[in-house]
Amino acid sequence: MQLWAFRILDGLTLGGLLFVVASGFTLALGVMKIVNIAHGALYLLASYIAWSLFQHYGFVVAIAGAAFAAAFAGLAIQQTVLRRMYLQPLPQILATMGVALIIAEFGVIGWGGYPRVMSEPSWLSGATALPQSVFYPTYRLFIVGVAVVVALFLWGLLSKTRLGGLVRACVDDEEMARGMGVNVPRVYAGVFVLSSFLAGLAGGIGAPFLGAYQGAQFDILLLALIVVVVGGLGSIAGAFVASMVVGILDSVGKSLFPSLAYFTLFAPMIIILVLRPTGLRGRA
Amino acid sequence: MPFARETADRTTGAGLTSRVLTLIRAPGQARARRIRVGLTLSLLVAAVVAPPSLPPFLLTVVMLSLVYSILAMSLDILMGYTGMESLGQAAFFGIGAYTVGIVMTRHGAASWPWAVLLALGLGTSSAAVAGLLAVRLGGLFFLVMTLAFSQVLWGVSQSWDSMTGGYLGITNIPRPYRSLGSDLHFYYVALSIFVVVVFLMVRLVRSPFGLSLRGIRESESRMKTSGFNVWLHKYIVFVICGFFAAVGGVAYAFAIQFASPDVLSITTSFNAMLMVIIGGVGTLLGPVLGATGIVFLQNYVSGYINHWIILLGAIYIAAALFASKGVVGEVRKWWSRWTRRRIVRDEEALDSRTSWSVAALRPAGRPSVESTNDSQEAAALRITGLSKSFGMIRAVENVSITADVGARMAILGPNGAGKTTLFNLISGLYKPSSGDIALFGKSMARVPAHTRVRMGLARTYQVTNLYPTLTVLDNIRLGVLGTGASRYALHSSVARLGRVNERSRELLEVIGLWERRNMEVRHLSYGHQRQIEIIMALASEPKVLLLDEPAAGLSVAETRPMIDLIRSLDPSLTVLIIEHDMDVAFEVATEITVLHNGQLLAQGSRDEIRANSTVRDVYLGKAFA
Amino acid sequence: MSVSGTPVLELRGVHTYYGESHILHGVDLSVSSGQVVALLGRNGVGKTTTVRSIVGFTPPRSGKVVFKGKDIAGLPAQRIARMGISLVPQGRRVFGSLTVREHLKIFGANGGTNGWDLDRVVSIFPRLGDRLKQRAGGLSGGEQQMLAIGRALITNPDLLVMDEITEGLSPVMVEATVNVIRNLKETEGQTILLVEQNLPMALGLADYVYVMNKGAIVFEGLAEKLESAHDVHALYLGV
Repeated sequence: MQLWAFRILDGLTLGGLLFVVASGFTLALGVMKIVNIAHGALYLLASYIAWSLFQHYGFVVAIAGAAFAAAFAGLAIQQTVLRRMYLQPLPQILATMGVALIIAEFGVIGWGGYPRVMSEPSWLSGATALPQSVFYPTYRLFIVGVAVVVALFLWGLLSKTRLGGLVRACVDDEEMARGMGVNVPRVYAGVFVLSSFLAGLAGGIGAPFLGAYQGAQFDILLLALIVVVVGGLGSIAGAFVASMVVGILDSVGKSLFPSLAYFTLFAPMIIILVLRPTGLRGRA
Repeated sequence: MPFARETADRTTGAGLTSRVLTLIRAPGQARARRIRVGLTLSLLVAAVVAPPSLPPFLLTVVMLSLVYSILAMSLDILMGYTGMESLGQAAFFGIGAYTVGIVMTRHGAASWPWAVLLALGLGTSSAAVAGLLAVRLGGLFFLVMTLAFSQVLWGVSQSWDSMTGGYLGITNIPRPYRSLGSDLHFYYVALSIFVVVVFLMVRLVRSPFGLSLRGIRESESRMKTSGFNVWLHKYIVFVICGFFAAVGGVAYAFAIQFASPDVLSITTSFNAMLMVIIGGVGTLLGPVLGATGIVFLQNYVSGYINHWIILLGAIYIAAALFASKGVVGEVRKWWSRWTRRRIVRDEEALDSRTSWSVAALRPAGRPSVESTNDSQEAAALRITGLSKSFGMIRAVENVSITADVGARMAILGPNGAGKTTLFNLISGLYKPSSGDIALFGKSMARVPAHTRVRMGLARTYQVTNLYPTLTVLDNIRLGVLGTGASRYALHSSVARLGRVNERSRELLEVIGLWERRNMEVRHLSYGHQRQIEIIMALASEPKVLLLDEPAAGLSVAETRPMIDLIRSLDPSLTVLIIEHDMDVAFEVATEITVLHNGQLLAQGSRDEIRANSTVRDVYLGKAFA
Repeated sequence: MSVSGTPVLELRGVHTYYGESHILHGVDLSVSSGQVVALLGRNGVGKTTTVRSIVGFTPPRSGKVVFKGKDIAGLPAQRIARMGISLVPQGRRVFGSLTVREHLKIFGANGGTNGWDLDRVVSIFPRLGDRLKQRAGGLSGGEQQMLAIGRALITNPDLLVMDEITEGLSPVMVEATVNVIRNLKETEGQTILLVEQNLPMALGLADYVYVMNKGAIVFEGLAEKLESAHDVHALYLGV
């Protein structure tokens, strides 16, 4: 029984981290039709930066620095390259692939080819007592907590604020949004910066959990892709549900059938897609 | 007959006509073909003769180029010819490679026929399964789905240690025969596979089916309403390309004698696309160049530049920003400039003096007036209680129309009255919310758009919906092929289809555009394009014709030839025409149906409608006090 | 050409294309401050293209669009909107996932002496007041029309462009809309360019009218003049 509790909790942890990653990914996808292949690379870059910053400046600076560095990188990418390819999926996907390769290589140049695992901060280490006398690592609960906060923040931002309204207007009818005086290029830039920030935040808090290693950029991207396909392209709520499902399936699958790890993700993905081709919460 | 005038930067005049006509016609193309054949032959000779003198590493790289060319070309057919952008070809490539690797290492060199058959079988059947899920999606969805599919397979190849060898992959894959152990000997096998694949692909691309793929790329909606089962064509080509990718994978496994997750990695998926784009989308030759370039880059440059991946990244970004035509496309552009073969822009408006060769508009082999066997024949088109809502908006509400055989009915109404929605419902692009449409007594309730065409329905579009980058001739051919059996022919060449080409010629000569058959249709004048809209619809030999604002955008002078064309249509043809131009509507139609707010406002003869005060009110408006 | 004062908006020789299709053939028109100017004509003659050329959705290929003394032809649409032109587009085009309240709050612009805000819009469209929390996608056609007008007013525009706003509306709604526009004209002095197919409605509101056919202006004059010009009716406006 306890074993199952751990499996579920592990799944929720992974799911939480995945949600922070995937929410940024699906945001760029839903608003600007950008399939950001560099999203995972931004995650990796952030993990490296967090690892470096942590050694000298502590946890909070490490996470914040990682997230803002990713956001800044995202802004640079968007302004130099993506801005010339508005709403065209194919050039955007190729360009972000190029960026992903470059960023990952910068990772090798800056931090070498070895994995870097950040340590947990002392005030988040150890275990917390949960009901049914289950003890679970505090840091992992922290990750889940961050995911919940991000979810609430995004929900609030998109449905309650003026900026969120502008974003939704752009998605509904981009031309008419311009007709209403909305600075659409600036809205798009802002969305992409937020998307990159989320990738960076995930990279920061994920650094003690998954570590920073060459290859993470595509491992993370693949999980984000699955989440987005299952949850529905562009849906944040869908991404939340799908992240948890994928996280739990992955964790349970890995512990029950270690050599069939990806099958346990694959099969449910296929089933869901047969029943709902556009994903759980996707619109056609 | 109207003749072409030249572009503005040259002097115009009748004297240059013949020179212009020869420029558009065969000679430039024959020369291009001769050069292309010559180039191919010399490359082939080089490919056969050169290898023995090559150092082993270079030989391996050349083999790899051939193998990846197959992968790239398979993607090109999907992407460049059909317009289906996919990042999943690496999946079938990988399945092919791994299957060969697994079977050969476990069961020895002699098992190679099984290895190959299994590899091709698995690759093709995976494509068949994946296609069922993915093909019905379009654009972005399809792209993301294919990427997810190939990446999940990559994950599986890493974690399924027992079968795939995990991260390390499968090594020391034996070749079928001891004698093929030498790379040089195997090279010729690889080359033969490559040549066979190219041959098959070229046949495919030149076939009627291949032409249908290009039509789908240009306009799916037009293809549907010309009689093509678009989904089926896309599915078939998806499976075929999966097969070709698996062939590439098989060749890869034997060539390198090694299969690892790299073969399925995201980089391979993307590299395939990069090869196609920088080589030239939709050219088949381009991807070969692209593949060779990338393979050489990967294998040679990486030795010299430490972080050469950054260079590769830059190439991706450059390709995204700049490569609109790719290498081959650019070469073609330079070629046509070098031979000074200009794109002759057709500046000419429709000529009112043109006489129409009306006989060609009669369906071949049919008498001009349908002999009525039973006088109680079902009406050509009967619409009962038809409604269509989009969310809360009721675009069409409870509309009933009956059109008898040979009717000439105009559908009028202000903007937003639901006229085009009505046509979309009749032609099958939309499904009704309620009500029924019957064609010659048969209900269209479960009949898809393309089948309706075969039952005798055809339509034109208000916004010109032709196949822009295809030639005039290809446009008409597609119109004729839509209802012909040969549209699934994978092997014969379109140029050899006698009946199709004859009929196309007939139709083009009606509007005097046979001479311009090799021009891309987007270079024709607007007036000519509108005429082609109608001729294309006639190509399917319809019994019921829906014309959606045929005179849209035509100048006053060009409208008269359009009216003449419509009036010269076969009397047994049932014609419904949406028009805003009252002159056209009242000259062509004998019955009028007026829609307003999606509802039927009035129906009757010309005079009845003219006298109808409610109609007048709607058009002129009246204070509804 | 214009009746009174300096023109707020002037089109001079505007040619606009959709791709290679030449839609507008040298359109000239002007709207003076406080005027209601109607642009009439049957379907497909280029009225909406003229609107799109003015607001920047489909920039003209040649010619000038002068707004408050500045040539805005070719400027991005969001710039033009911020300069003081607001559009009530054909087909309403409300933002389906935004609530009524959001429509009236988000796009508001301060400044201008008119001072439109949510409360004032609700006062002229009480029905919207009942539906503030509802998503625009779920509103009826008439309610969407009211919202589209309110959305345009909330930016306090110097020029209001209304494209076929009575299309698809019930007679009752048409009358209500006419009253709103009359109110805007007489009480607020709002400058309006009204693009319409509905002749009596337009004549009842407009000071000056232009009639368009096949991409060019074929008649212009005071509204009373058009009312009596029956040949124009027959040729360009009627069935």
